[in-house]
Amino acid sequence: MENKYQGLEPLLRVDNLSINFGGLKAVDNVSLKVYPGEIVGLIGPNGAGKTTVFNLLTGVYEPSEGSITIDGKEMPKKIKPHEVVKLGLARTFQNIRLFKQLTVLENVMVAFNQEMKTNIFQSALRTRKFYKEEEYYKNKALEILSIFDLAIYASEQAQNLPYGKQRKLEIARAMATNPKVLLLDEPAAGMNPTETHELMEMIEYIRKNYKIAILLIEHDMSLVMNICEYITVLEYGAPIAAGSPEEIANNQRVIQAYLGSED
Amino acid sequence: MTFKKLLMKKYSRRVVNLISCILLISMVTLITPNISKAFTTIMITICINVLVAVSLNISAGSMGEVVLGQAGFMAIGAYSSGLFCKYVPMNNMFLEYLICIVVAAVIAGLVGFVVGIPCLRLRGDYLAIVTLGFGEAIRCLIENLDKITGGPSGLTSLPRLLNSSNRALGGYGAVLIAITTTVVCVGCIYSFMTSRYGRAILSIREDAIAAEAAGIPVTRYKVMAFTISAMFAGIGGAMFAHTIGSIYPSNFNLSKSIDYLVMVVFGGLGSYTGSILSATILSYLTIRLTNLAAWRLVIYSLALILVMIFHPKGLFGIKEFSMTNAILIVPGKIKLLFTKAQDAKNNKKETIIETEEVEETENNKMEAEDEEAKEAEALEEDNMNNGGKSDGK
Ligand SMILES: Nc1ncnc2c1ncn2[C@@H]1O[C@H](COP(=O)(O)OP(=O)(O)O)[C@@H](O)[C@H]1O
Ligand SMILES: [Mg+2]
Repeated sequence: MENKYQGLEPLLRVDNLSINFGGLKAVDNVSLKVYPGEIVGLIGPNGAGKTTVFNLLTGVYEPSEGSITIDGKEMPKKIKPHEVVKLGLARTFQNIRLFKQLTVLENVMVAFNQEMKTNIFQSALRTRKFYKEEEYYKNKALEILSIFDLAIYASEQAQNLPYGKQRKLEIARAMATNPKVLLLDEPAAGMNPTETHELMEMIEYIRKNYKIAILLIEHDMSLVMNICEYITVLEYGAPIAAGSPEEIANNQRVIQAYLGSED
Repeated sequence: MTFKKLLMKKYSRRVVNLISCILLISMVTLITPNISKAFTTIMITICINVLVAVSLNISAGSMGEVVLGQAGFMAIGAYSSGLFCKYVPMNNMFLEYLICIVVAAVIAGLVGFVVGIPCLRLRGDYLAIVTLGFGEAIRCLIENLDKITGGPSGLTSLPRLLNSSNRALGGYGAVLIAITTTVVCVGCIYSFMTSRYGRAILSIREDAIAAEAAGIPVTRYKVMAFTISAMFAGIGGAMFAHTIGSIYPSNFNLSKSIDYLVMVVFGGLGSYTGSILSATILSYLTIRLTNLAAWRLVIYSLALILVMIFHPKGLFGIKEFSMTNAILIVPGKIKLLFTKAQDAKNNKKETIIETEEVEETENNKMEAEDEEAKEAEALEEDNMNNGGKSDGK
């Protein structure tokens, strides 16, 4: 593991991240490193604080302690979620959040907004530049959609897509922000085995072709064990184990945490 | 098939729109050979209401926040225009009108910006109430600043360019100027709302958290939408001042704000062609039924209730009417009726998408036909706008 990324700078580096909600330590001293082209799994029982880690990374909450470094640059403590996107962090949500009444194409086009250049006047007066830019990004959006086999649904409303495809569209939208680090919050939740398999291949494709760092929260153990090279396990906000999938699968503490939480 | 393909081309849409535009104008001219005073009033009122309704559709429809103070922005536009005319008298009425429009837009936009920054932190009912308060506050302010605004007795004997009695252009010219102003403004609004900015504003309505995660600075775009909405309502106000020639605070009360909200809801929150059509219908009815003035609110409420029952999303929902789509889809619908089963099986997906559109557009078309003569300029704008709405399908 370590050898493979020896000498490389991690794209995402989290050091001693913590946050308190009232008396509750929802995230307690979590540290992570994700290298370019690596997929790291973040697992743990329900309520362990995994989603909260994502919310800390994306500026939804301000961490009470710890630091986040993206591609060598430390993230300011107070930062808005839309500014985090500019630094190269993109995420999906545990409960799908799409622009339901917009088309599939528009859902992706929205994510290009931050790199588009036409100003208000050019837009309102429809100058040549406006048309050129729209055309360019439309094609770019279709390219991204075709990675996820969604290009044929481009003019369909997002809410009309089946569940599995909605999840994929969310990833497509995140990819459209041209991220360095991709955060996926339970992307396989609610998918059937075929869809999960497809998803796995797509994540693999992104990893290979875009050389970005992927941090993955997932409950589907077969998925996690299959595609993650490194796994961190949280319980009650604190990391209880970290290592390769084999190490985690055989870790007594992890097995206990999972068995203990099941009802 | 080839005809269909030809129609789908970017520029053929513009041709279609131009032709239907010319047809409508000639139809209106045929129906009303002599420009009567009443006709002028109706047309100009429709133009103003269409513009203000469309401007409200930016914040209430596309941004998805109930705004109950649109008449307040109109008042600011009307009074800045009126005061400008009063203190900077000019000989050229047309130039004066143009400057007034710019002044009204700038001042109303500024107020919208300043009011928007704190207000847009609120959402839903809270924002509705704050904007309601804003509208009323503006009215009270105008009433009480009587040294400047003339108070309850209003600003009177202002130049009336948009009136059949104007010496410079006559009724026909007045109507033309009003239509041109509205068409240009609505065209700009529509282009803006179909650009990256419009898409961002729509995405905020759909899911603000996801929009932020996709890199949209939510607050900035909300303030932008609100400001632009206020700007064009201000232009509507300036047009109003140039129509009546005297403005009073009571012209811009709460019930006026609600009228516009009704128009937008009636047309379909978020549909610009819907706002245009419903503003046209409702303004026409209001003027025609002046002797039933007491019943106006009843009629509005009834119209609203009926729409809510039979078509809860308003006439057009969030969709837009497009002539080319109508031509493309209506024959398909008729064909579909004849060759039901076979085709449906072969290309299932395609027909599913198509029938949905057919229903929507068909509805729209029927309504459009009923109101054809009256909504001349409404469709004109529609057509102009759709010139750019070429890619999509
Ligand atoms: N905004 C918040 N305020 C208070 N408690 C919160 C907040 N967000 C999350 N929590 C708590 O933090 C814990 C971790 O939640 P979460 O990160 O969603 O877990 P999961 O690992 O299932 O994604 C839970 O106990 C949850 O109730
Ligand atoms: Mg979670």
